Amino acid sequence: MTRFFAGFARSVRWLEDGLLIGVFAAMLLLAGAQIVMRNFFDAGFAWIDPLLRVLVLWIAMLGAVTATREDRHISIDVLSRFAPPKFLPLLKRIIALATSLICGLLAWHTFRFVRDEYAWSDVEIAGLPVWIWQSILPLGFALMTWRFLFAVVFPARAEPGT
Amino acid sequence: MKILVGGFLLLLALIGMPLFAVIAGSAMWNFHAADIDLSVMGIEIYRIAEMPILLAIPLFTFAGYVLSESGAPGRLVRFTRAFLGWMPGGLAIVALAACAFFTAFTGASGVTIIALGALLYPALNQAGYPERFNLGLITTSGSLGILFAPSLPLILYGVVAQQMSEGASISIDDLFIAGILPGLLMVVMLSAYALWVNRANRMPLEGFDWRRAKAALRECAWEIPLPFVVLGGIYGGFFAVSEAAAITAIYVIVAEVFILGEISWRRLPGIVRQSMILVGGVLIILGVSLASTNFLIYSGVPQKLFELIRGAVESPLGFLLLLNVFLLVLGAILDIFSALVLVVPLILPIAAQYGIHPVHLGIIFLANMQLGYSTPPVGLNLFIASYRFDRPITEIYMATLPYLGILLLSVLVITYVPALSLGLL
Repeated sequence: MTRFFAGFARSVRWLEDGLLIGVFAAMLLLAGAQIVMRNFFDAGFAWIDPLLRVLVLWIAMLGAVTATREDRHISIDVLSRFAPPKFLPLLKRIIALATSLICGLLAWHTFRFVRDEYAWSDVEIAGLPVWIWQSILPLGFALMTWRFLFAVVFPARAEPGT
Repeated sequence: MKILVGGFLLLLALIGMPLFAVIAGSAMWNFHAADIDLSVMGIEIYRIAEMPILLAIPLFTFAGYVLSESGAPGRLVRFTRAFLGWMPGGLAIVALAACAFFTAFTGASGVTIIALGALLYPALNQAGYPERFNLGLITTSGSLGILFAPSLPLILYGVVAQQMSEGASISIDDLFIAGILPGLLMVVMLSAYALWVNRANRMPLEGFDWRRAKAALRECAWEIPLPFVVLGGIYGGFFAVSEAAAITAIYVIVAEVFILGEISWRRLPGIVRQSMILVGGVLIILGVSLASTNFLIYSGVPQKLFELIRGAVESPLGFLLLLNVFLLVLGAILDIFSALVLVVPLILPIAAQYGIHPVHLGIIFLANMQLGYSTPPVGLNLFIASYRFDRPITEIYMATLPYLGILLLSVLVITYVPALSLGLL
């Protein structure tokens, strides 16, 4: 059972990293291609610009998921620097619990947003319906919810096997 | 109930809850209390995908991280040394200039202290500068340069201000120009201080030597064009800011990976990950704050705030003074990115009513926030320096104090002399 979980966690991690790096590489190449097209051939592709913009959203969400995994979100962090170390695990658990709750709410409500778009919108980006691109919102928040819930149980480590 | 939830979130923020969650929580609570369907959160966060300029943020940040992982910091130090080292107190000035240049590209996330401090701190000690002087110098220099293009905070201010669309439009290009003189003022004032402290002991590092200068120039041949590509390209009208970012990122990969071979292919994914953690952390805060800001504007908070301040402060000068005090306190508590997205939407319309130019406001804002990096008790630079140089945090506090004084002085000049920011526009 533990081995199954460790394997599962590893696959999720691998998927997150792969997606993040893949999306970044695509962004860099597309932005470069667009500049070449525009300046040397005087004709950019109309579909690249909206695609680049939505890829920034993907980078934002995937980067935030990775920041969650490594416990590197931007925070004020006054108390934990000056609080007695023995309270730290407890504080971290409380924070992780509250944050997972908020991420869970965000995942649910952004999911409802995407569902509405799926039903009503016929906008396309790079040939795909817009809801596919927007689905990174609930997906990203769901992943963050799972990471923070994990940190409630294991406050010291980001995840097993790391 | 409203106060209870607000207080609870504030408490959670103080014990270290990620700020994006604090902001999202308060936005959702407010929308809920106003009977607005919470799927609005999706609509608001999705606005990240509707701002073309944001593309510049991941690309510039990545380029900065690649530079810091390569041999560029060492070359940059040797380069500035060859050209500025002949001056008395030269190495201190070298340190300031190199840090400012580097921070402009890496966006003051602590990378400067780690990448450049490690080279400069021992060199300064070796050259016979007092140790405490060096410690303070490196710590404060870690955020010197955020006023120079293409720094991340400068771009982010432009993004947030553009969302407000209050009267005069504000372009990132203008901000890039406006930062030049105020940024130089800070570097010059700190250099003057460094010279004055070491006046008894004026140690020119080395004479100016053409051969060494030429060697340093050749060594930096791949990095020197960068500022020209970025600024020249934008102001020459060749490309937009986000295009300049893409060119910088591609250029840096070609130069450091293919031509100089200082970074192997295999390390690139790791650098992408590290830099995108910062980008993700900043953009997620931007995303959720779009929601909270929209609620604030919807409920008329800026206008109420303005009337409140108007009652107490009549003149623009009085307002600026109040602003300075407020921003200094803010900078000591909040990091620059959260402060930008949370506070700029509130103060921009107020400042506009006092007749303060939005570009000038941006420079004032960032200059104040730059101080916050080194302000006790929680300035980020202080912790990074304490960690990096293995010194107790209280020693770092004391060492940075005189530099804070100088920077405060420069912030006042920047605030009360608008021409410094607006003169070149």
